[in-house]
Amino acid sequence: MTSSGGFRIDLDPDTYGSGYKDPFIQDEDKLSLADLIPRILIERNSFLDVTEANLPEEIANGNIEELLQPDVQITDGSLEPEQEDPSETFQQQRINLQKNINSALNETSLSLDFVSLLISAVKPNLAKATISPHLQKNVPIGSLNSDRLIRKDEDEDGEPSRTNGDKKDNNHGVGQAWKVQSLNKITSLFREASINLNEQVLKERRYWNMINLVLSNDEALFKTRDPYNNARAIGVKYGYGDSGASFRDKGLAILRKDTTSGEVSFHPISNVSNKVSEKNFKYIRVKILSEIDGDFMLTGQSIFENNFNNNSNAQIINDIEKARFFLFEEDLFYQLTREAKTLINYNVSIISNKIIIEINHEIIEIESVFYDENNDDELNNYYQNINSYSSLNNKKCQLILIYLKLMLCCYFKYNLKLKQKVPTALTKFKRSNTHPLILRPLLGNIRHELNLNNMKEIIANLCKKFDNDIEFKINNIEKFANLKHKSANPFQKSIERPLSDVNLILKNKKNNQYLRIDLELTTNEIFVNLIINLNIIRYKNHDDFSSNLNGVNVLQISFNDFNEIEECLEWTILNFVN
Amino acid sequence: MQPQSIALLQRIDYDVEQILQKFQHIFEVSRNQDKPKELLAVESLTIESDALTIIRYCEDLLSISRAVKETWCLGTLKVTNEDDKFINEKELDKIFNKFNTLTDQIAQFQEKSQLSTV
Repeated sequence: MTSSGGFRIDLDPDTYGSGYKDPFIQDEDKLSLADLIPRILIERNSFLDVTEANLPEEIANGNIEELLQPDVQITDGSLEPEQEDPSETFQQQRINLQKNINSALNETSLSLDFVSLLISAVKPNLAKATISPHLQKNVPIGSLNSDRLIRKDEDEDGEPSRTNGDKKDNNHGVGQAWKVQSLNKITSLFREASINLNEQVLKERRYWNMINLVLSNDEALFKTRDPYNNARAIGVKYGYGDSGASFRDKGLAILRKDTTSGEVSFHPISNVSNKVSEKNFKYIRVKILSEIDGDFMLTGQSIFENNFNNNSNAQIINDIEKARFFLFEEDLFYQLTREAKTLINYNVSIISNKIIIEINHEIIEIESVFYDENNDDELNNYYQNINSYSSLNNKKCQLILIYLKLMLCCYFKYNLKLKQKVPTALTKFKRSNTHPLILRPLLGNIRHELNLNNMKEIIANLCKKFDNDIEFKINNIEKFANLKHKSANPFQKSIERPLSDVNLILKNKKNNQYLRIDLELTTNEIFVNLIINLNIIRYKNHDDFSSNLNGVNVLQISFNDFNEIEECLEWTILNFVN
Repeated sequence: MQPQSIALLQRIDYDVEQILQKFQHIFEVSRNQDKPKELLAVESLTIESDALTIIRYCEDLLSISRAVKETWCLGTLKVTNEDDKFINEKELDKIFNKFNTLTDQIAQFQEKSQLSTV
């Protein structure tokens, strides 16, 4: 361009032909559109009030315009302060701002580089993160260092030394004050923390003391989470889940810690929803109604025998014991109803919260009753013991209750034994199909006793009837012959079906023949049916009988009915007599 | 010793050591002679942070004690002297007889009560 500028002086303007006076004036027709449009804009300022009338006028004044044009050119080249176009200034300012920002950015990155380099001597890793690649390439890291310059006290100069001394004192004072301030602060921090920690230690102590108390009561503890707020907590297994109970409620509870005092409180959780549940306590009451003059009257009732508050001075233990007691009662009633369902054919019925057993002019009622701590009268049966009749069977009721509970324990033990066995198909089957033996043995034993009495009566009647022809000898009546073979289980009498032997020897007075009648009273696994096994052997003479030789088996048959056996015996004896 | 207990002991040792160290550090730092202002400012903040660390470690010690108690209560199997109480024949007999009389009493009451009511 500069060289072309040099040429321009020598060039004759006429060579252009178009008559341009100023070489700076560019040919409008040759300008690119991008240059042309701003030019026109600058010339005209605004197109707002362009009219058709204006335009021919403008064209007519073309010459003037051409005259004006050099002016425009001049102003275009230099800045024209007269023309204050807002968009223009805005543009300019924007450009300025951009420039400034760019330079500021540049400055900042430079200073960052500088600081990075400075720091690289002390902390190279930190510096590496911020230093620019360019600097890193060209200057080795850690090559710049700095040190603080402390102005020495100038002794020769009086004034500066004093001010310096003042400054130092001042510095010293400020530093000291800071230290004192923070020391004061940490003193109060420590004090607060010590109070806090002390409180916590006390809380912990209270908490663990109580936990330990529970533990020393032989409870099984386990880690769990409180369903209430999902916090970690210690749980207690107060139920019989691990002791062979198959009840749906496994007896789990949370020992919840009171955050303010550290006290532990007992909250049973239900198995179904895993929520803390408030339980309604229920207990079992046994009643006996006897038929007196055609009416059933209450003759006995068990009492509630438990006073939880005397066992221990700690509330938590009492709570656990109480929950355990009622869980057992609940379990017992559940098992009883389960068993009672199978006994509906034998005069056992279930009505809501009651199991009713009808047997031999008596009704035994086993009911589940809500426990009300404050209702002393009901718990102790004050109203019931009004006369001698009404308390006649009290003791028996109590015994039945004890019996039921014992049998449930026995069932637990059986379950536990099953659990300990090597799992096989059989034990698995047994485990899922066990039924407790509680009600059946109770009923079975009562029935057996009745049956035995009946049998005795029949035999006595027969004796009377054939007294003339036959010499009767009741050899022995052995009750519970099955107990001769003792097993290790002390509950044998109730888990095995009862079996009694009756042994009769008949001697015909005419021909000295002997007849031995063996009767075996027993039942099946339901415990309530009657099964009588009869076995009759006839001997020709006394010698044969005593040596048990040449006996003829006359009959060997089983009965389920007293009428049948009575007939059968009568017929046999009649046959024997003749 | 179990690895768990070793780890616990180490934790206790570490905590105590840290507490002592920080405490000592507080004293070291509280001295201020000829230190520039900037250092003094940093140091006074260090004192506070040290104090907070000490408190934190104390709390940690407490939590260790809690953990120990918890393992003690929950992680141990209780051994009772069950062997001493093993049931001999005689006692079994006693229970056996007692239970039998109980069953008899329940079963026999019937006739007695009938007798008495009639």
